[in-house]
Amino acid sequence: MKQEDNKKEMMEKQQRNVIREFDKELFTYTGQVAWFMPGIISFLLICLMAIPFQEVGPGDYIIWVSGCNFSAWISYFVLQPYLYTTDTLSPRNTTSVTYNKLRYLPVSRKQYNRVRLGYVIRYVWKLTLIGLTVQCLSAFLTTGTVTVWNVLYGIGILFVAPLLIGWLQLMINR
Amino acid sequence: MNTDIIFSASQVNGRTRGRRRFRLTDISFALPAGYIMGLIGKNGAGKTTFFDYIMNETRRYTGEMCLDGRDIHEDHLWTLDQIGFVSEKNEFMELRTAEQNAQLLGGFYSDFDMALFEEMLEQMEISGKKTLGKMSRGELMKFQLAFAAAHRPKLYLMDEATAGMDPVFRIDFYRLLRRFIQDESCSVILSTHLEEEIEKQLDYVGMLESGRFISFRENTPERGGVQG
Repeated sequence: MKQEDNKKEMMEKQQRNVIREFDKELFTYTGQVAWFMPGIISFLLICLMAIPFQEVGPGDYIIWVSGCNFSAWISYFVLQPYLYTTDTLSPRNTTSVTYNKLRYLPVSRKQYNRVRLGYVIRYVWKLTLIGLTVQCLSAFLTTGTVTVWNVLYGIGILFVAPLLIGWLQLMINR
Repeated sequence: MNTDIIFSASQVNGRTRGRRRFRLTDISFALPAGYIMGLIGKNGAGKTTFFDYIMNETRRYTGEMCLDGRDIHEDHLWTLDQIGFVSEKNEFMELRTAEQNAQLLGGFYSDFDMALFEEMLEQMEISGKKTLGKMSRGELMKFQLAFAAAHRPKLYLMDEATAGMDPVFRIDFYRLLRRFIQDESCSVILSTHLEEEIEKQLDYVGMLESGRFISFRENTPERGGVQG
């Protein structure tokens, strides 16, 4: 039983590697422009993190709305080069959704989603580290204290929300 | 001739899902290795749905379908690895060349043979450097056939692959198919509604009518100069 589990795990790992190899190719073809956008949004989010949580009131709609928007767009743009191909530019194109191009090949949807969610995690993990540092530093410099809310605020906006949106995007992308 | 069953369907009945009411019923047949089976029926009879039952990762039916003795949904990745799918809908990368497509997508198969793919293209007189978007319909079909053959599948599924093709192309197409199955290690299921094909090319005929599988019979093809 354990041997079978190991074999299955090995096959899944192999499948993920093949998907990553495919993604590398896909990325060089579609990714250059798409990667510019997460950079801009990340910069704006980090700027937003410079405002300590203690200073953000419930009435500061601009900050809340911008925060939510940016964290949603982050995962959208990180996933964009992998979820769509540039085939939309072709007149005979029937689909530009990458998975539709792979669905008749031996590609597991589960592993496909897992690899792509991995890209979001890798990206937002680094962003969260930078954003949290900025948030804690600015909270310490302006109020003299760093509370648990500063940390939760950073994690929520920079990590949890993008992951959730990314997961939803993968679920509906068919 | 070989009597090993390569593909079988037993009591397959589709499941209805949500608002989708159309489903296939009563599908039972067994296809031996080394033959071409035609799935015939009017538009909307369920030919494409049948292929979807096989190719979709989710089991959308009750009953059992087996490829080479294994339930196709028991290990669906293995099943897809053993199937060569040719469809009138081109799902490949249109803006890339035939070779780029094969390099990019062939890696998903456990046994994709790039040399064989190139050899097939050469035999079919198609340039591997040509972008798929610039290929004619016939060339696209041939490309798909070469791609499918390059991973040596046990079963070829062809959804309206010859629809809208001129007779010369069709003769060529069937000649290639006969060559693929001549060692009797694989079979072909293709959907068609061309009467000429049914009479001349198919070894078995399964008939669908409004989702019901109404008959499965052996056919004696009169292949006028088609055999390879």
